[in-house]
Amino acid sequence: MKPGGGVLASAAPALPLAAFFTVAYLLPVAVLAAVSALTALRGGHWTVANYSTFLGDAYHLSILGDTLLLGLQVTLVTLLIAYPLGLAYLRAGPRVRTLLLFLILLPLLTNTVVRTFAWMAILGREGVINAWLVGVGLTDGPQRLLYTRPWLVVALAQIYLPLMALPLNNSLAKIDANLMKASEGLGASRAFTFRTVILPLSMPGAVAGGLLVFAGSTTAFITQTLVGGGRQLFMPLHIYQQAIGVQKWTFAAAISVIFAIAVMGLVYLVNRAARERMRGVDA
Amino acid sequence: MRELKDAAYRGVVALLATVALVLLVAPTLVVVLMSFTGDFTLRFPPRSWSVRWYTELFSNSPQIVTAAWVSLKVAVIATAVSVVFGTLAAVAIAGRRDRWAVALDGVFMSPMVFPAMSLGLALLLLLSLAGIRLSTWTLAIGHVVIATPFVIRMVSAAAQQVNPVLLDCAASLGASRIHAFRTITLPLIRPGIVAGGVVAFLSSIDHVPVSLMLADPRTETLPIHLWTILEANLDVRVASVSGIVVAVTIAVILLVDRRVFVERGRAS
Amino acid sequence: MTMHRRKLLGMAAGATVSSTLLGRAARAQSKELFVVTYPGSVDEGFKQVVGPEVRRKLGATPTFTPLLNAEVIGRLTASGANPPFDIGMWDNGPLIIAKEGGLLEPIPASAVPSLAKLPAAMKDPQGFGPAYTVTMIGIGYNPKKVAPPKSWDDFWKAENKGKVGIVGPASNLGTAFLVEVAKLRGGSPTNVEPGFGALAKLVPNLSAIPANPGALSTAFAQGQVDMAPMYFNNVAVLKARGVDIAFAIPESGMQLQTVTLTLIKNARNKDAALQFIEMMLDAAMQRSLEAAPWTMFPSVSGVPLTGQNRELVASLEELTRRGSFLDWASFIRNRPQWVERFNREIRL
Repeated sequence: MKPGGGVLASAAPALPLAAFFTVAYLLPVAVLAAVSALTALRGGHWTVANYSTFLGDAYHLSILGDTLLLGLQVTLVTLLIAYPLGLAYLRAGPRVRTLLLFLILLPLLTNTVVRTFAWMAILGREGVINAWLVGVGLTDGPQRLLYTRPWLVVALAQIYLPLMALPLNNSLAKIDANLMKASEGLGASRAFTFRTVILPLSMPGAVAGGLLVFAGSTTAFITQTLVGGGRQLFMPLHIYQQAIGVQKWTFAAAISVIFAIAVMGLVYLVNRAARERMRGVDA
Repeated sequence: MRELKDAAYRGVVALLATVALVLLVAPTLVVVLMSFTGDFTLRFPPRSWSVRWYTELFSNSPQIVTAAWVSLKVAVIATAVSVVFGTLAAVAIAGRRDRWAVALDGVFMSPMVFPAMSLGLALLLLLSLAGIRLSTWTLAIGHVVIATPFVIRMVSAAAQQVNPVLLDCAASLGASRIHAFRTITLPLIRPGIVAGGVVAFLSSIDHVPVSLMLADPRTETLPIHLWTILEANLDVRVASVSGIVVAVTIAVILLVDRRVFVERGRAS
Repeated sequence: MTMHRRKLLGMAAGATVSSTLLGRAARAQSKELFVVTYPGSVDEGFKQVVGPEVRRKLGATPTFTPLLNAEVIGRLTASGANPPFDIGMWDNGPLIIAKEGGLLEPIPASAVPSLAKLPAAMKDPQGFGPAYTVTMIGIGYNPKKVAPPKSWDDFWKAENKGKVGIVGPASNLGTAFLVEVAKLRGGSPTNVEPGFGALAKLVPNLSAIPANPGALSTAFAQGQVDMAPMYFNNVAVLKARGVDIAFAIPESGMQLQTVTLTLIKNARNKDAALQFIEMMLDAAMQRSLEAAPWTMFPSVSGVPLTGQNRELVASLEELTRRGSFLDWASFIRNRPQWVERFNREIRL
């Protein structure tokens, strides 16, 4: 198909990046793995103590579990609101679509710290929501919204919504309009059409977006810390505290490795499972 | 009966879609509004309005400006490298089902799911053990790893739309691979390269975890600086910086060829 | 149109490379000084008051980085022979750790003549540096919402439910508070078991556990917290800004700490660093920092007390009478375990 030259010629353009990644990505990760199995950063000897300490301790495991759970919660919430948004996008004309795209892109491209700061202003004691609640008289005093789990999920969902919306909209846009017309023409309700036509055919986008949201929200250090508060401890802050805060470098390295394996492992498994179910759907 | 179900369905969809839109827009609006507060705290609605925080920003905050410069420098370096290397790689592996291509694709895209804090620690440990001093360049190297997947994704998508027949023709007419790349492929994938470059640039400016781990007062990026301010002080100047960031982001989106983005959304 | 954009990118990249090279050359000529500060009003004070003086008197460009002591130790350990800072700012406890870790360089007495004028309590016995201020820990409270507290025990009172904020032992404020609570409940700096027990009982009254003293100040200003163990000078700054806050000296007394400035080992700009330290002991500088709103208590004698400092005590001598210095050496090494235990047990 392509002009001759074999594998090496075809792969040649990718070699510079491969070399760069080896030095800037694979090598550091290898160092990370090595350090995680040492007793000390300089001049230690091999051990599995760091891993056994983490994996054998309910406290540490709960931090990992909670982080993964957070990712799951955020993914579900974004799915819940991204689909209606996508459906609106689907049935919109080109001008509205451009506007929607702009609105979706704007938060994505705005600095994370800025977006998190916005949530602090919205959820604070004297912030938007409390000002409204107290002003309208729904509550007599400001509620504690900041540093709570539900609002952390909402804030993260907003921050990662674009990562879900873009691939999902892409997938939705590829659905043949005739299929939907046919379904409705045959008497199916809209809900039925959604369930049997739209949902399965948009799965590639939903899965792609979902994995990005999951990976992103589990690693979202800034929002987790500023909106979640220091008391909801998740893996990114845990790693930072163990490394820079108390200088337990080898332990921090082990936590990093465990976290990476957990997240990437889950992503890989879901990808595999989804690919099985989606065979035949044009991704 | 069906009308009722349809109405209910439409109602739910409309409601959730509105929630989604409000959720998307509200925080940005709040930030912009807050940046004009005359208070010292984040009370909403502000007791007074003023542009004092913008003037404070421009007159009294050399470190914020320095941080913005650092962020810009790092982002430009990282974008340049990731666009060049990423485009080449994407062209090599786009659409291929060969084992080596799939494997390379997996590795190149993996930074998107590899926890950034872990990567940051990994880089810090490597640099520390190797005795390499932290600098703008070490930070840029980390950012390249983060940004490249975006470039590859965008360029790949564009490359897969290039009709292979064109390249076959070129080859049969005697053009070398490089010549064909330069004159046929490159112009056709240009929108993808631009889109990838823009996203890479913005993701670098925005990135925190690796920048935090490799933080050094000489290479403090804007998000890290803002984070420090927010964490320690909740300095309302963060609001005015945010206002500016929002304005710049809007400008960037509008400046970039909108055709690129709308094309992504339209059915192919 | 897209062709121009790629050219632009190329030009921008070229401009960046050249500006980086130029920047390096320019930097070699003007001196740069990297100083650690504390997050919050201390950092602000340094940027506003000390920064301009550094530029004027020393001809150097200062960069102030707010960090907790523990994080500074982390960064210094990671960076090995290339420390990111020239000057460190330490509370009593972490200073011990920093010294033991070989992260600091002793200051030659000839380079900082003002050292000789300081009383022994205001400088490091091994010559690692002078204290530039004294900090006091007491109870910060909102007089509009809380009755003036008499002792730390007031935190546990039922009427203060949902009003209290504390910081964990990751910061020195939290460590000192934990030790103080332990002492009140029959323990000691080396036996903080009763302290943890008491904190666990405090949880129902807590409305927030901010990450550091700066964040605690913010929580106070936002109305999230109405009562907390706080540094006097953070309280003073908030008060000056119009926040409803007052400082109460608990019955058991205030806790005092000296804040020491040290030279970091292998600092890039040693000469400017030493000049900086000398400058911080200068009477004019001490007066500027003592003044409102910074309200940093002077370590140098002969600097008159004004404003809120004066309202609190009449002199350094009275301060040492109404407060006490903890023996950090006896317990600072336990801190990492305390941090972990606090994270596990004290959850909101």
